[in-house]
Amino acid sequence: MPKMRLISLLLVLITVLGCKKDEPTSWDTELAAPIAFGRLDLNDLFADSLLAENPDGSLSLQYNQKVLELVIDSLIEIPGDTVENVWSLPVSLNVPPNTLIFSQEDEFEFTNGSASLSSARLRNGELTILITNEIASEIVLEYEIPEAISDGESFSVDVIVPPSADGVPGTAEIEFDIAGYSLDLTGEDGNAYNTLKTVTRIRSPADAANTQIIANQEVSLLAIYQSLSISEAVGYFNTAQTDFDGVESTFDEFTGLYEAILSLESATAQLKLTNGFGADLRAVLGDLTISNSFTEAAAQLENSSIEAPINLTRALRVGNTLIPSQQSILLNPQNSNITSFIEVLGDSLSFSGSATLNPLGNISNFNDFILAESSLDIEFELDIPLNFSITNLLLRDTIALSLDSDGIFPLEMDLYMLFENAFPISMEITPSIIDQSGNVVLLLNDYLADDSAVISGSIDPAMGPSVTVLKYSLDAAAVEIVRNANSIVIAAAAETSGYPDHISIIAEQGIDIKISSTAKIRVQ
Amino acid sequence: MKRILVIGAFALLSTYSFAQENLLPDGSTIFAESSKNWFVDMNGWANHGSNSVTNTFVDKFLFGGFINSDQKNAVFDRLSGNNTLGGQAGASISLTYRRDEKQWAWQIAYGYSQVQRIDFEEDLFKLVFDGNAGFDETLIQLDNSQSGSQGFHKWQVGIVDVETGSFARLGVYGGTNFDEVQLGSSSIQTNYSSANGNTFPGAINAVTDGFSEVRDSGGNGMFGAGFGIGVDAQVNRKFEFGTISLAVSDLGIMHWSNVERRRSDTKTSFNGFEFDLDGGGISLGSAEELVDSIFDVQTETINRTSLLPWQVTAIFISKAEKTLFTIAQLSLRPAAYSIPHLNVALNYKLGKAHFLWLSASGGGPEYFGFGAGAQFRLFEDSFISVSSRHAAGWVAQNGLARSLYVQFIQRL
Repeated sequence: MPKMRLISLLLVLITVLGCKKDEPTSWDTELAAPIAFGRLDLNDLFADSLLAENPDGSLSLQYNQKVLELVIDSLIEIPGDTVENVWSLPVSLNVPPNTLIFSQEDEFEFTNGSASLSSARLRNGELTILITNEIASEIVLEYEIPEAISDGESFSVDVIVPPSADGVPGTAEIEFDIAGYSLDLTGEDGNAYNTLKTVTRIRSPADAANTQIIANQEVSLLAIYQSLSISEAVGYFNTAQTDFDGVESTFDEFTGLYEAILSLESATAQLKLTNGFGADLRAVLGDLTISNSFTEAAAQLENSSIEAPINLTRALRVGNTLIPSQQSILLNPQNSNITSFIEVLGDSLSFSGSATLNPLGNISNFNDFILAESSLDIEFELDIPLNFSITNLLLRDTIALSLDSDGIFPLEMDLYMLFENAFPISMEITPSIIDQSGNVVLLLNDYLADDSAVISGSIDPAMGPSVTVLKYSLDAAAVEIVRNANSIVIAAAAETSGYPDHISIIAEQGIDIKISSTAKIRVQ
Repeated sequence: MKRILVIGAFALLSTYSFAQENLLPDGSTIFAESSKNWFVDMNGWANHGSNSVTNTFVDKFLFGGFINSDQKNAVFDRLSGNNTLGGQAGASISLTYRRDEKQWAWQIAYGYSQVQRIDFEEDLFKLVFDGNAGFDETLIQLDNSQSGSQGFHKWQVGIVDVETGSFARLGVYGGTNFDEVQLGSSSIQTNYSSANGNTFPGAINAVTDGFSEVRDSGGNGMFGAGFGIGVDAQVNRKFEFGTISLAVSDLGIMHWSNVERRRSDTKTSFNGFEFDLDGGGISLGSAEELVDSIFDVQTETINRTSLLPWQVTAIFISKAEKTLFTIAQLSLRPAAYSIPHLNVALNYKLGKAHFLWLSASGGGPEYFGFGAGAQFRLFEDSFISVSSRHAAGWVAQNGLARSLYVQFIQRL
């Protein structure tokens, strides 16, 4: 009987262990489904803010590029300075607590001689005070700049200096941030310029015993002003010329178009000069060159204003509002080479020239001013009607792929890419599959059912978009590569329809793209 | 060999749905002619039946493997407007204590059951296993397809009439899994576009009205998904002409908690995922995400109460005075099969304790079946019974049903 029970138990165990799937259940099925759709229009190529629609429905590309920004630091430089004072008594003295021992007023002068400033506000500034004390008692040093005001308070600090010991003087060193202080630079009598009054006092401590001072024992002070720059100033800034030679600025609007050959119907530009200084300026535009670093092509702007002096009257100040003065120079195909200048499809601008402050001298009677927002700006404002021809335009976009199969594995696939192209631009596309390491692992055009991968462009907007279907027949090996892909890079070589005839782009145009597939699928 | 072992396991782990508890094939009780006090009754069964889905196809889902075109076509050829596939499997053990000279004995029992039924449209089956490409632009009808399944443990206590073998047991049920899917008026249609001599899928239009409710304990205990109560009972009466037995099992209710209900009632047109060429990518999510986005599936978590998958059985055993006698059994379990099963067996009695029988059955989704079985008495107090109503199903891969019943009784 026990034998029978044992056999029964073993049978149960064996059969339980046997109830396990060797391989998953799977079957093949054929699915036909749209996969994805999207639209490529001008807003994908250019920021909305750059496109302007003209009354006739045509579009223009409008773009601003700042060629130069000259700020106050370039015109008025305030170098650092050091003020040194030494005090001593000719006789020995026993001083009670809280007694004034030394007191001295000084006038610190900004040593830059080119400008005569009656007031200024510091954008940056550091004051370092170094004190050496030979007296064998602690002392208190008060350092005050009465005409340096911040938040309604003048600058004033007390520094406790330790006593000398064993013949070694006591020292103290403290740094102060004096950024934001407004300075009255008219000195003691109110008629000077660049002059800052300081007061130094040395006292015995209030909470100590009498201070014994031996004759000729010295207390010395070093006040070091450094890293000074001003954000606002009033005075006469003198006549000064600043030269600019090859100031580079990045011009990124044509990024990616470098190899293209562009022909524009027309283009205009404005060179806009803005004087935000409360002083007259005379600017000279020496050279404005656009360069294409890829093709190494370059073009120099040609116009009668080049090398000619341009006088800019001073900005006005109404209350706290700055009203800059402006001058604009219109560049069009008739008075300049602006069209061929743009056709270079450059990626950088180089500017050379000069700016002269107060070319007529002190006609403001020391009332030149500079505010924090003051600057001399030169901007290049482009207006390019999208009426052009282009060829050899190479576009490239990378689209991330994330295919979570989740038990569904394509085996073979016919991939259809439908392009409804309303742009009068044809494109030959080259899609490449990229693996996790960034390597090209599959060229989809190798699986193209037809010979051509050209997406034809619209011939006539009235006839609607041009329709192109590209069919890719992927075998099992290709599908496996796509399944494990990281991204797909689509490169396109574009050319306007009927090149070199010019075409126009209107706002509604775009390319509608639909991707669909019929595929043999392994379901698991 | 392995398959035989697996099938055997299925049977031994199954519960006593169709077996005659406490009764031997000739209608006598297991308590008769014995002075023992303890009785162990182990039962198991597994069966499935369909009017269209072949045994091979079912095997692929039970044991894994690739379903090839011939195997799919064998099912496609049988599909009609009303297709169904049902199945159940389980195992149980009961322990009965007979008190001396008392009519009523005590009994405790444990069982585990899985019950499943799927009714489906022909188009739905072809869509799942052959895809939508073959339909071209034909409307794919998914109406009136539904499925449901329940899995549960049960612990019962009860009493047994040692004279007749009648019994009644009350118990608690622990639900392990539950699902119910219903598709109302639903259809899918693929629209194709043509350009430049190419024809390609342009959109998938779908009309859906359906829901699914799914709960799986994920192995988190015997009461991980639901809790219920239910009864098993059987009444045996002896007459001049034989014995009649009426039985009901799993009559009760189950409360399922945290059931994920997904509903779709929408009319949609899917044109693909919209991608952004300006720095965006193409990300195809999981199949579930894909379905959710196409059919606008709304998901919520609910609690619900359902009937246990009850079963009623009526058995007639003719008087077995001679070597030949008959057993007729009519059973219905709607959670597995929509049509009752009628099984008639011609028994041959070998001596006093061994039985062999041949049977014919009708009803159920598969309509007809022929089977065989045997019960042997091993030593004095051990009985083992093995039978199948669809014996041909074990060898006919294109058969539509299979079943196996095992019973082992031990007097202690």
